[in-house]
Amino acid sequence: MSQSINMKVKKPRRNYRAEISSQIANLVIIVFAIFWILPIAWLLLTSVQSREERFVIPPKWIPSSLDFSSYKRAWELFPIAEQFLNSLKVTLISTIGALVISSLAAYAFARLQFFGRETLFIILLAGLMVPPQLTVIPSFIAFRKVGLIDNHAALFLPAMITPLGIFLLRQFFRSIPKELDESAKIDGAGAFRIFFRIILPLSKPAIAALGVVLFIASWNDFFWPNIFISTSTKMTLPVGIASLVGTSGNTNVILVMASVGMQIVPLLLIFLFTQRFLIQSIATTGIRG
Amino acid sequence: MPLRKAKQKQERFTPFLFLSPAILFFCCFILFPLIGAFGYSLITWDFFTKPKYVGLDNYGKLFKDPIALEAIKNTFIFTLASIVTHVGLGLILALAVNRKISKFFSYIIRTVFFFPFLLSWAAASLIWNFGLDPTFGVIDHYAGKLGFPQATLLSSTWAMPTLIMIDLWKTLGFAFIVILAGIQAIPNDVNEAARVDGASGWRLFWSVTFPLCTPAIFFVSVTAFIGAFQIFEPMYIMTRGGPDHTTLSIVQYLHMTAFRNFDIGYGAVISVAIFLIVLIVTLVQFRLAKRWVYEA
Repeated sequence: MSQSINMKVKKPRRNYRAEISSQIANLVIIVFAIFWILPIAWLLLTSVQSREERFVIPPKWIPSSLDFSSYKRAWELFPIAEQFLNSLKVTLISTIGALVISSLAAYAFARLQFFGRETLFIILLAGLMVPPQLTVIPSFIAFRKVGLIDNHAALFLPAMITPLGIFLLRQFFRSIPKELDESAKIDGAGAFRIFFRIILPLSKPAIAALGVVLFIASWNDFFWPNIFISTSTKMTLPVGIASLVGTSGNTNVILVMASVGMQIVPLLLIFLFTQRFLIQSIATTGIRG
Repeated sequence: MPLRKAKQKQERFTPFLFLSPAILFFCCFILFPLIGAFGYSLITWDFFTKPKYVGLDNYGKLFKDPIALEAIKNTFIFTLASIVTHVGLGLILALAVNRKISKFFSYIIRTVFFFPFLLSWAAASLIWNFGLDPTFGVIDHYAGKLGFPQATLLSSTWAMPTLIMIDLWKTLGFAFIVILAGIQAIPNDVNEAARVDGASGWRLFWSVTFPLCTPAIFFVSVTAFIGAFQIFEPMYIMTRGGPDHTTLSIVQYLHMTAFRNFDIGYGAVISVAIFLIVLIVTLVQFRLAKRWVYEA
C-alpha cells in the first residue's frame, strides 16, 4: 500500500523534471540554430537592402523596400553565367563518367570470376587513401605537357575514378539475389545483358545516391580547379567567387554578396524540397565531400 | 565444338572489358601520379630550368623548415579541435533530435544544421568573411555586444579558434546525420529491455545508446580527421595563412611551395608528408578502434 502511494508521489515529479530538461534542450538547440542561420540570413537580407539601409550599425534586419539592383549589376559585371555553365559541364561529365566506370568495374568484382580478382580489388580500394594533394603535382606536370592546363578536361578526367564508388556499388550489387542472373543465364543472356537488364535497373537507388554525392563534391570542389584553371571565364563557380575577394575593394562588397546570394538561393530552394533524399544519400554513402 | 571454345574465350575476356576503363583511369590519375610524387620529391625543379637530382635533400629540408613545422602543428591543432567538436556537438544534436519532438521541429533542425554542409567552402568562407568584417560584419558586431573578442580573423590568438568554429558551422551537419543514423539503427527491443531493467536517462545513454552508436562515432572521427587534415579553402580565402603563419595549414603550404614559388621537388615532399601522416593516423585509428568501438 505504502509502496503504491510512493509511486504516485514520485511519478509526476519525474515527469516534471523530464519536462524541464526537455525544454532546456529545446532552448539550447534554438540558440545554436539562430547562430547557424544568422550569417546566411544577414548576407541575403543585406544583398537586397537599399544603399542607405545596408551596413548600418546596429544592423537593420527588416528592409523597408527590396532592391535587387546589386544582383543585376553583379550579373552584368562578373562572368557568373559562364561560370555556372562551366560548373554544370564539369560536374555532369565527371559524375556521369564516374558512375559508368564505377558500375562497370563493380559488376566485374561482384559477379564475374577471373584470376586475381580480390588482389585487384584491394589495389583499387587502396586508391582511396591517395588524396588529391598527393597527385596534384604530377598531374599538373602531365596535363601541362599535353596542353590541358586551363582546360575543363583537367578537372573532369581525374574525377572519373572513385575507388569508394566502386566499393559501394560492389557491395550493393552483391546484395542482389544471384538467382536472378542465374535464371537469365539459363535463358542465354551474357554478362553485358545481365548487367544492363538486371543489375542496373535494380540498383537505381544506390546509383542515384552515389550520383548525388559525387555531384555535390564536384560542384563544390575548389582545391583542384583553383590550380588548373586561370582564365576567369573558364572558372567554376566556387573558384570564380573566391577570386572576387582579392580584386574588389570595400565598394564592391555588395556585388560580391549578391554573387554569393545567387549561389545560395537556388541551392536552398533545391534543398528544402529534396532534403530527405539528399541527407539519406550522404548518410548511406558516407562521403564527406 | 569450335563455337563453344570461341564463346569460352569471349567469356574469359569479358571481365577485362568491364574493368578496363577503371584500370586505365586508376593508372593515369592515381597510380602513376602516386609514383610520380615520390619521384619528383627527389629532384629540384622550377618548371623552367633543367631538373636536378638531389636524392633525399628535400626531405632533410622539411625537418629544418620552421614554417613547414608550424603549418603541420597548426593543422594538427585544427584537426584535433575539429574531431572533438564534431563528435561532441554532433552527438548532442543527434540525441536532441532523437527525442519525442514534433516532425516540424525535427525538419527545421535538420535543415538549419545540414544546409551549410551543402555549400561550397568558397561560399562559406565569403559568408563568414563578411559576417566577421570589423567594420560592417553582423557577427563581429554582436560578438562585441556580448563581450566576445572582435576582429578575430586579424588576431594571431583568435584567428585559429575562429576558423575552427567556422569549420564546425560548415561540416557539423555531416557528423550530426551520421551519428543520428547510428542511433536510429539501434533496435527498439534493446532500448525496451534496458527500460524494463530500470535504466533511463544517463544510465540508458552510457550503457546502451553510446556503446551501440560507437561505430558511427568512429566513422565520423575517421572522416573528420581526413577532411580536417586536408583543410585549405578557409585559410586560403579568409586569412591567407596569417597573421604570422598562425593559421597556415599544411595543404596551403603545399600550394604556396609548388604553385606560387614553383619549388616542385620540395612541394612533392610536402605532399608525400601529408599522404603519410593521413595514412598512418588513419591506420592507428583503425587499430585503436578494437578497444572502444562496438563489434569493430
